[in-house]
Amino acid sequence: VPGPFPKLSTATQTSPATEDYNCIAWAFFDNSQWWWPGQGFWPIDIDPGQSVLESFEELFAADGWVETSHGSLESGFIKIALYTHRGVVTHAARQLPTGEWTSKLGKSVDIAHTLGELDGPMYGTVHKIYKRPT
Amino acid sequence: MDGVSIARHSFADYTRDYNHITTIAAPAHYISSHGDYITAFYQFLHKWVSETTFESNLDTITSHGAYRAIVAMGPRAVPLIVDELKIKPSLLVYAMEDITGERPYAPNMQGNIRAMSDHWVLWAEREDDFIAA
Repeated sequence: VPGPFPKLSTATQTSPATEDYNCIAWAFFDNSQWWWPGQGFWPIDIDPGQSVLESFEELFAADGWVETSHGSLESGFIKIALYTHRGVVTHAARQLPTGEWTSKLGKSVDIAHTLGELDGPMYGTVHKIYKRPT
Repeated sequence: MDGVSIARHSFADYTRDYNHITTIAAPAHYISSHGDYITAFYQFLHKWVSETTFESNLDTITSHGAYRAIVAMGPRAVPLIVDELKIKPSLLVYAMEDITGERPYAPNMQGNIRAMSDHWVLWAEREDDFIAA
């Protein structure tokens, strides 16, 4: 039976499980809060009627991130991949200086992984990749 | 980094922290019965935890059927949730809000699950009447 991450093979666990923070927080270098528009921590105001995806796009723009076409390592830039499944935001992963990616898996652990390894029924696929100067 | 392959982990691995709940809920002389709300609470909790382990989306997490079942238990679930929050910070803080209609922490603490959990434990110490209801 395929699990939630059928492509996961080389990833390594890098932290214990905790509900202190989630993938979005971790992507933005915060390991103390659960980031989610509405019920969780959100660093900017949310416009009434705004969708979750619009809230994320606004957050990236407000924090100086711009969309990029690829997830390859670029000197002088840091990258975040935003995942969606059937149009719903599910996950974010941050690129490490090694070119690997780091993810907090919901309430579970942090892992280091390749970009495509989290594709599947749980998180869907990468919707957009954003970059910002380091 | 301990080099452990994530692929070898199962849902059970990620939920094993909750194995203690059987011990807490059922001391040696306690005989559970069908319809017992304590047994039901821990069954719902285990289902919710295991089926939302990898979720970040709070809308999805708090609309899960087992979460809604815990909330539907009302005040009877409150002392059981507080017991969980005393053990470790948990997204059960949102069930406390949904059941009691209260929010015993400052607005700027929203999303700080550890601080929210701590404040709910303090709230429970103040609200003995609610807990005993």
